[in-house]
Amino acid sequence: MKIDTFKYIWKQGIAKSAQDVFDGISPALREKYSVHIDVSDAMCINLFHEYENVRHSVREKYFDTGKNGENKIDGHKICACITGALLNVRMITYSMSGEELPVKVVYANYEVAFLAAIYVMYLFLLSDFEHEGNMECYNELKSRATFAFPKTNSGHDPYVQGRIKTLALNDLCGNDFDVLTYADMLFWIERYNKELIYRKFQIEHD
Amino acid sequence: MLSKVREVFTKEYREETNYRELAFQMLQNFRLKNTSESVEDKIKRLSDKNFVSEFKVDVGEY
Repeated sequence: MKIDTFKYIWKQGIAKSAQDVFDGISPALREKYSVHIDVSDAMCINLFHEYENVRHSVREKYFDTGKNGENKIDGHKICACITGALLNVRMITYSMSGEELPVKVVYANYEVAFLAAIYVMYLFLLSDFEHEGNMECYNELKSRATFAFPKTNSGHDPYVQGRIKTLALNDLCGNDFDVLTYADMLFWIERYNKELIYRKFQIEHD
Repeated sequence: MLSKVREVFTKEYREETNYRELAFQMLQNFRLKNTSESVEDKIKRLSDKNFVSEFKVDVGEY
């Protein structure tokens, strides 16, 4: 991905998601734990390099790139690579004074890692609808300006919180981030939202 | 340590090693392919018209 393309998804997806996470932390918590967000150009470049490291590794290990590099990494894996990069580059910092931290603060960077990929996937899906000439779906998704997530079984964490906790657990337990499996999860989140929109307009599809 | 040395002389270990060596030679066949539109083109459609995202997902309270 060229840097100009990355800068666009940074502005319209990644930095935006980080800002939403930061805004979700109360002013009192922000002050008490010195919570800061870094959405600077330098952070964008830093994350781009980390993203490129993750993407390069995925491309080398798992992809048949074709004779002339004609096979590209698809959007879901690109989004998963962004999550993988955000597990290594933290956009939100806070003071660790020794006492136990509130979960909202500790989870902040995992929220960014999850949401940034979702925010970028929204851009890809919008563009896909436009590319297909499916402006009814394009306008519907644009006006929704959010994704729906499946209801979880009784007693479980809500879907989004469960995924954020899973990112945190795997990271803290030292498990390698699995880009391919994560990309598959993103595929199903996208598919779920496409289905909801198709059903609304009773559109036949594959 | 001795148990590990014993293990590598087992039939099971040799079979597993053979499988790993054979499968690794076939790695090219397992590799993923994708010839769909590039993300550069996807994003260009939006950036060319200066699309500004209003997207938001609410995480909720833990």
